[in-house]
Amino acid sequence: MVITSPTLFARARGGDRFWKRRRILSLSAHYFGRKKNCYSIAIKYVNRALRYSTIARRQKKLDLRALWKARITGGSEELGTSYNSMKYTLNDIGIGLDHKILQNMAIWEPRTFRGLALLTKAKETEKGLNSLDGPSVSGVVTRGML
Amino acid sequence: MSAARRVQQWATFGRMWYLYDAKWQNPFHTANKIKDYLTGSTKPIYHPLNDCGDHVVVINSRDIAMPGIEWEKRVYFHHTGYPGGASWTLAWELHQKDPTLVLRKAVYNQLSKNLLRRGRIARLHIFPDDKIPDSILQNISGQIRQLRPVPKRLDHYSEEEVKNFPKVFDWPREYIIQ
Repeated sequence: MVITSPTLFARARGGDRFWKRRRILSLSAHYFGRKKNCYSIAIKYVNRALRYSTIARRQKKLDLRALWKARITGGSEELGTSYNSMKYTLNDIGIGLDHKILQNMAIWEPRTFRGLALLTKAKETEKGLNSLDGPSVSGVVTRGML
Repeated sequence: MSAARRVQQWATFGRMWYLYDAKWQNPFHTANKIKDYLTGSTKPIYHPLNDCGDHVVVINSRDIAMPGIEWEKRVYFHHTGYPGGASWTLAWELHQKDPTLVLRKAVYNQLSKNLLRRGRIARLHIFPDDKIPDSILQNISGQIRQLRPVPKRLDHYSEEEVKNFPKVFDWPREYIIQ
């Protein structure tokens, strides 16, 4: 008879120590010193780098958004409005341009951005926010008392 | 790149030299405004590492006006590094010794506390009065508006202006004021 069970008890285990280390050392190839070549030192720094890259996924979005806001502020202050005015008024009008597009326009499409700034100022004047006279009322008879 | 585009790029990245008259202005509010120009936050191409800051030339820093009793109460701390080298100087004493330091320290403390600060403060040129060296005067390409309006001194009005100024009330000519 053929004994099949004992042969099935044999397992193929381990043997990928080389490949595991290679995976880590390929990520540390650009480090300085023993950190790039020695596995037990490199594993600490590679783990830290991977942790940082996971955290940075959220941080990058926040940082870029802050930069866009600073750029839109710079561009709008040059033209006589402010970031808050533009954001509020464009939303009010129904122009749904986001921060990324606005900062790109401030840099690469300055004439379009200037058009948006003038639109903001015109809308604010209509509401009466740019002068001490108050909102412009049409069809209201004041007899010069207001 | 076409010639027009090249000129536009050079103009966009050009460094401006702004003039600011600090006469009778609040140094801390002034510092808040100047720091925006030194960092380049007034430009749409702003990035902290872009080196897009401008130069600011401040004149009449001897005539700055601090609010309230700050001149008497504000102290500036300095330590020479040696034992017993701590000193606390009142604002008015410091202003007497060096009339540019109060504004310079105000701007320095408003800038972000990183390695870019030294480079940015180096682009701030403060003069106690309105005498500017010619080399700097030639570079000036813009002006920053003052934050507070500077009223005319009462003793600087001419006699005619005083006489012709509209009056609400005046004593009769025969009235004797004792």
